[in-house]
Amino acid sequence: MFLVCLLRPIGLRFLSGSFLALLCVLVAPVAQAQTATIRGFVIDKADGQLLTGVNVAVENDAGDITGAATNLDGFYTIAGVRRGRYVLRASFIGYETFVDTLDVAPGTVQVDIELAASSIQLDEATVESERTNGAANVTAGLQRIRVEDVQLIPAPDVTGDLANYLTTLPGIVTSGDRGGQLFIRGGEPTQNLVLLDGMPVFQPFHVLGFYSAFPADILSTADVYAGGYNARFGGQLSSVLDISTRSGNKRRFGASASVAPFVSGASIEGPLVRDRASFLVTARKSVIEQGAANLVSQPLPFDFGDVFAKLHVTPSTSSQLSVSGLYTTDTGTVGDIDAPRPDQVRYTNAGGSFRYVLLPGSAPLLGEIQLSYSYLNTELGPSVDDPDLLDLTTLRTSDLSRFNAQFDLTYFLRGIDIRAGGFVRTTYTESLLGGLFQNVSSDRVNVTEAGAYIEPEFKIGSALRLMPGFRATVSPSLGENFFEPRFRAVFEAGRHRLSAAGGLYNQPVVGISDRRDATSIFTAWATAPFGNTPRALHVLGGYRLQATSGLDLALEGYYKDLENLAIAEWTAFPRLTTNLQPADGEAYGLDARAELRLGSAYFAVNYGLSHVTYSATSARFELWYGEETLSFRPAHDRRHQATVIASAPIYGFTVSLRWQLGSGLPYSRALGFDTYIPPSSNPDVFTEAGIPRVIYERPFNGLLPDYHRLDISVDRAFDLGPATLTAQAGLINAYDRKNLFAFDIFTLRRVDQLPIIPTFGLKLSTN
Amino acid sequence: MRYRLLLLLSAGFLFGSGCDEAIAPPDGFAAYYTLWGAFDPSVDVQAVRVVPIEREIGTGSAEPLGVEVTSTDLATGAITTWRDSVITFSDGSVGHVYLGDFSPEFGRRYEFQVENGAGQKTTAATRVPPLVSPFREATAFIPGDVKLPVLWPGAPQLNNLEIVYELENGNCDRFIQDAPFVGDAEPFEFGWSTAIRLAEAADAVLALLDNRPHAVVRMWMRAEVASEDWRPPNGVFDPELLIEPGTFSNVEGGFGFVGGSYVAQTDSWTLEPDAVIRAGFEFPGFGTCSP
Repeated sequence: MFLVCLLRPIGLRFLSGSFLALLCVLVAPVAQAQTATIRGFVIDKADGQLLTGVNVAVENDAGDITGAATNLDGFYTIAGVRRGRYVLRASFIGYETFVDTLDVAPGTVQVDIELAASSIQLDEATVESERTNGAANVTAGLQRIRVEDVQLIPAPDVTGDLANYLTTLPGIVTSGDRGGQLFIRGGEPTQNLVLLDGMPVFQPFHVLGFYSAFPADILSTADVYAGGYNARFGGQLSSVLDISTRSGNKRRFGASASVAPFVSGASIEGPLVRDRASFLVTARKSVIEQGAANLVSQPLPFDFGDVFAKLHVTPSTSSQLSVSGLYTTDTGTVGDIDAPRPDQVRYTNAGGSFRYVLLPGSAPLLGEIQLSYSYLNTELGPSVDDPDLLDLTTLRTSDLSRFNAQFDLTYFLRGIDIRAGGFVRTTYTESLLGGLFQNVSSDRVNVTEAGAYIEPEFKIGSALRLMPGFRATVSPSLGENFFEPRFRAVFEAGRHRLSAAGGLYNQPVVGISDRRDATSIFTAWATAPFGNTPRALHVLGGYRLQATSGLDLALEGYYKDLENLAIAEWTAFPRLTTNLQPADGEAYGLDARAELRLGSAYFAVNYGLSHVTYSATSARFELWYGEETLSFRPAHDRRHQATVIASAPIYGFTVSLRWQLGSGLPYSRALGFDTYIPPSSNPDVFTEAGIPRVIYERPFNGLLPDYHRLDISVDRAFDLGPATLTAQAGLINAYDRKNLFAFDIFTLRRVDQLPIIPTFGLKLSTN
Repeated sequence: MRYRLLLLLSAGFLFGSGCDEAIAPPDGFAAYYTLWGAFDPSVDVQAVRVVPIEREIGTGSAEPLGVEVTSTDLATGAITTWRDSVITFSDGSVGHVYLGDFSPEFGRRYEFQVENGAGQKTTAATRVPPLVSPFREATAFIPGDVKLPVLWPGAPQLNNLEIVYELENGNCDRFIQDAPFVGDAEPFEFGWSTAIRLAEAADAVLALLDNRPHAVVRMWMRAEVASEDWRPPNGVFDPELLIEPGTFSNVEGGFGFVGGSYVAQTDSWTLEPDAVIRAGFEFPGFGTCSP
């Protein structure tokens, strides 16, 4: 009907299902009301790129104000505006406020806005109220990260990387500076949904923990949902990292190149058709062998790289189109490099996405179509660099690919934004595990899912926003249906903001890892090993206070109930393979954040308190531990974590430091080793050698030493006329703390994280 | 200026906080040796494997353990000192098997002890099972099968039950064949009662012989008569379950198991013709060697 007619011009007849029909019935009468809709895109005047989070508001003669913020596509809509004269203002931190006067008549008015960077220091209070990012700016688990946040963190790289920032957030626990594993509020790395322009990236973090597939060069925004995420996201249990990339400069060409001890990179961007089409290409390659390896006294067997490319086109004033592609490679020996046959892990991500955003006709509607394909290949085995050790029979591999097609529609009404959409996706997994997980099928599996969601956002008064949502997924291949209610609410009044969120989440395709060994980062992807799809319930609530114009405080508590997890089974056999056993879990904690901005200086303190417990039930446990259900802290349960970030200009240099403290992670302590002879009969002790055995304490009963580290960097930019040269020097692990990465209970050998490393880097970029 | 001072103070504090931490060793773990073996009254040299509990995994060492190993007859107080014997196993690992030159008495209780120079002791006490003379009861012909009951009076525990056959193949060659016990076994007030389910047992032994026809000349039963403590949890020797230290152990100050055990067997018997037919065996002389 109404919507179907709107969609016809863009060839979306296939969307006219019953779901849309229902939506049409709901919205059509309202759409005919005699009000106006003001909408448009907001771009940066300097480079034509879309701006996210810009506040756009209209004010009538009576002083009534209504407004909206631009979304990830730089799009805003103010619906239900009555006839009359209005003053339109668009404001964004770091930009001059745009002001215009409009005579509004019923219908749709498109006002595209160009914001110019501010050349004067704005009033601090005005600026801070518009800030949508920052360490203490969290709303019901959601934090928006911008490039300037990333660049506050000292890193062995001039450009900066999203991974380096994420590790500073409370509630995010990493495996250390190698391995690329992020545990968010108790969840496993494979339970995080990471999207790059809508395309899932399954292993987005490089093998060296400072780096991910997301250098700051490509970032527009990164939204981190640490839990309680919206109904439009699904398929993963723990969290969402929704990354939007820049569209590239639409007005002039630019390029940059950087060198540093760990990684060097280059980027180029520019208009293909001025103001209509642009491109952005970045590439990075690790140079550890040539650089950092010469600065430290220990082997650094890591090699990685990534390439990102994006084409962004604005075909008309009412549509946008983008095509993105990503390719990453990683190779590294995460464990003890001096082991007789050190295992090497290798993984490759590849993928591409297509997005089409449309403002159809004059309706207050935003439509989006998205197609994406993602692929991950992971290998674990002997080093390919050493042909003598290369034994293909010990090679383990896991492949995961996913094709996803989805559409999203947002209908804007006065006081309500109705967002709805649908998707079809098929996920293919294939593993060659060599018995690594003995009771996991390594068959090829195709999982097809289709579903829909609806998520109206009710704006009640100026202070309250309620976002109930519902997501339904049908999986014929699994024979399962998932119905997931979701909820988000925000109350904001003056300096105070209260927020809450919750929901049910299912994960049909799971990643399986052996967490008994910290160096074991190999993940096999499969459907739920025990037939029961992992499920989680999230509940969280928080409070944020803008105490003064420069001081923000935030406190957020959370609870996650986890069901149907698959964990490595306990055994005293010292073998590297394992059976899996089912487990449930719960995670709860508290994040506290304080952020202070004094002029150009920045100071933030984050603290996270976390409790994670897994519980597994087995008749054996009754004999082993005296109780049938074994509850234990998993290896990523870092009870306390604190981060201090400071950055300030000093005598023309920008000095940044980051200090992190984490309490010790649990591990299973080995009390000793002996030999086991199965006592089923009188043993022939002269011929029966027995089996080596580990005498474990109760699982994960030990605690590794605390972790703490200081990183410092000093930057200075030199204006060279047509280009800017940024020089950086710094120290990673400035006081040379020997932080433990892994401890081999069989050999009592420790693998430490990176020692003190002096870093330096140069970046040349066009102005 | 305020923030510069703050930065300097912060950096100064943090630089002073660097240190290394070792991984804390476990406290209060009082287990020194793992013991595997049995007192066997049917032989005159006893053998028990003594495995030192090490802090690092390894393949063993031929170096002397520096321990004194003794056994005590708890009825008489007689002490026997055992001697070390270093064994290199087929997988290259090395173990210490201690030998005691004596035959324990049936039904007598013994304590085995390992004590090192630091006075740390690992002990295990067990009762050697009494002498058992198993005997066969009358064959029971039941619908579809034949049951061959055997009683083991006085046996505290039976492990590793086997059926032994003297078989004849189609070439009239006769040979002895061991096969796993198939049937029922359960303790009763005065010992153990077993019953071979002959049809299933015949299937099992013939399966070991590629299901070629064989005649049974005679058969008998064999088992390890074990001390009462040699009884696994839930009645099953599940290696994945029992490998957890302490799950099945009578050792103090260590792990493992030292029981009492010897092999006992019934007299042999010949099967009734009807039992042979029901079990699916041939009769001796069935093959090509027949005149």
